[in-house]
Amino acid sequence: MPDPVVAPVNEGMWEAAARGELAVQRCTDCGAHRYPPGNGCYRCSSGGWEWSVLPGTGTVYSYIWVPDRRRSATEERDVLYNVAVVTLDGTEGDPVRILSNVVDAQEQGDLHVGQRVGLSPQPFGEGLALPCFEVGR
Amino acid sequence: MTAFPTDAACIAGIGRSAWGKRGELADRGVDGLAFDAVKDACADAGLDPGDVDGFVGYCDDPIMPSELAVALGTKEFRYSGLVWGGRGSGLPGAVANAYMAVATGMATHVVVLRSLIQSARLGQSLAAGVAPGQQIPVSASYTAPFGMALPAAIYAMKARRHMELYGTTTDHFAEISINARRNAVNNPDARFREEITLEQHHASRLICDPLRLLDCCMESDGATAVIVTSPERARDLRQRPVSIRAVSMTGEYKWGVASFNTIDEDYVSTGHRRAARDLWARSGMGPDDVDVALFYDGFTPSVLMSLEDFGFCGVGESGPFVAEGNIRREGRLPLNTHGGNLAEVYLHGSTHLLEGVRQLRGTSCNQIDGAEVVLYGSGVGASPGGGILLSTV
Repeated sequence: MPDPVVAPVNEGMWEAAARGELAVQRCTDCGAHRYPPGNGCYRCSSGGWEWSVLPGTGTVYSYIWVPDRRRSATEERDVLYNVAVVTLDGTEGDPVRILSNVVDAQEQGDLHVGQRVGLSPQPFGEGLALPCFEVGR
Repeated sequence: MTAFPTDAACIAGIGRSAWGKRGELADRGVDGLAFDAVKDACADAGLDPGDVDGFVGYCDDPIMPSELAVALGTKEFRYSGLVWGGRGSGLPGAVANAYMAVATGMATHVVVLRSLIQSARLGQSLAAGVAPGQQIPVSASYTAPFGMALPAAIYAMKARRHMELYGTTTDHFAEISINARRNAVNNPDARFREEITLEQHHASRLICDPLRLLDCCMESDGATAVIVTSPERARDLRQRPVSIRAVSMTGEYKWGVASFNTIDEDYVSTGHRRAARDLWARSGMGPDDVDVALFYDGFTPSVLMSLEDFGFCGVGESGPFVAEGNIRREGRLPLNTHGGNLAEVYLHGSTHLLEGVRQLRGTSCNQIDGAEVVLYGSGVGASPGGGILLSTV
């Protein structure tokens, strides 16, 4: 998979994940959390924001299983990886959902809508990490 | 707000280039295909190509209208408009641009164009419009690194939740494909003219659970052109005019690019609930007035969600709606009578517009008796998408 493009609007999130924290933007005018990172607040249009550390836990909202063609080439049946949308705990405003992977869910049946997950950072680049999740917490 | 001016423009001509498999028409090029399609549409309309004075496209269409205008012998170049991004969603926006250009008198004959050569395999692209090896845009940083790359993935994610909330099944997805193939049997221009069974659908290769190969359309090369002009000018041309009654290109709140942070009730949808609201309000019509539905069918689940978005059934009820046979030719709401993206050809919904015009002219290969009102609903893409209502004059 490609690495993210690190930019001022998102670098705090990758840095926080590398520290073992889940951080998303929070509006400094009205307090609403938001994701994905953007320039303004969906609720009040303010351009002021800060990084806000969340509990790091959440609930699976939906998920898919994608055949990993590279790994499947040497196996008898499809090796699958998941992509999941996770609703994050501890946010202000509309529910905040993040798209990510549940890294310890390997087989169909390991994931269901409503499942509880927690942060499991996956390093990339230099001193950065993707905010991924795992079931086991 | 002033009332929407309905029936302010007509479709007077439709045309197409040759169609082919992904990459097959690369030698002709997007400009060549576009030229062929516009010439075909002008011949259909009985219009001198030099009288085309406006060009509209969508989803980052690759052609350059200024060059095409020279090739066509355009005498006056009065309008050019392109709808941003989105791939499957932008056709209503392009039609809206043509509609408004004609209705205001800015241009007299505006062609709505789509021209595609699928040179990079779309399924391998990291994000829409990004070639393999190219850096992804910042906005793709929240999807591509997690393996959310296939266009099918967006639909699959929505489909899984729709199944969870409403008990929709893969049998319901299969009915969309089965209906498409069944209609394509009678369409000599279709790429896939063999019927398929439920068993064949379920046995087809897994693409992105819960979607299989027979839930997905096949990338194609080709171009289409639709000529929009005033009702008066349309009456003087060769074909029976088809009226554009109304158009909407209203997006869903907070849909953004990736849609996963839209509000809960809009997530399991194609994002057209508000576009439908505006389309019905502008036209003074409703679902009961529609004789034929043409829904973007890149992937089967979005057709189910479109039925709900436009109000043909309640939210969550599209599975039983199609299971009862309602979208078959013999049913209450014949759908994609040409075979759609799934079975005829995949050119980002533009061919659905051609079929809508044929239904209202009485020239479809699967003609629905007495068809007077046709609805087009676009695909899921970067907002906005929307709808188009066509009617007999």
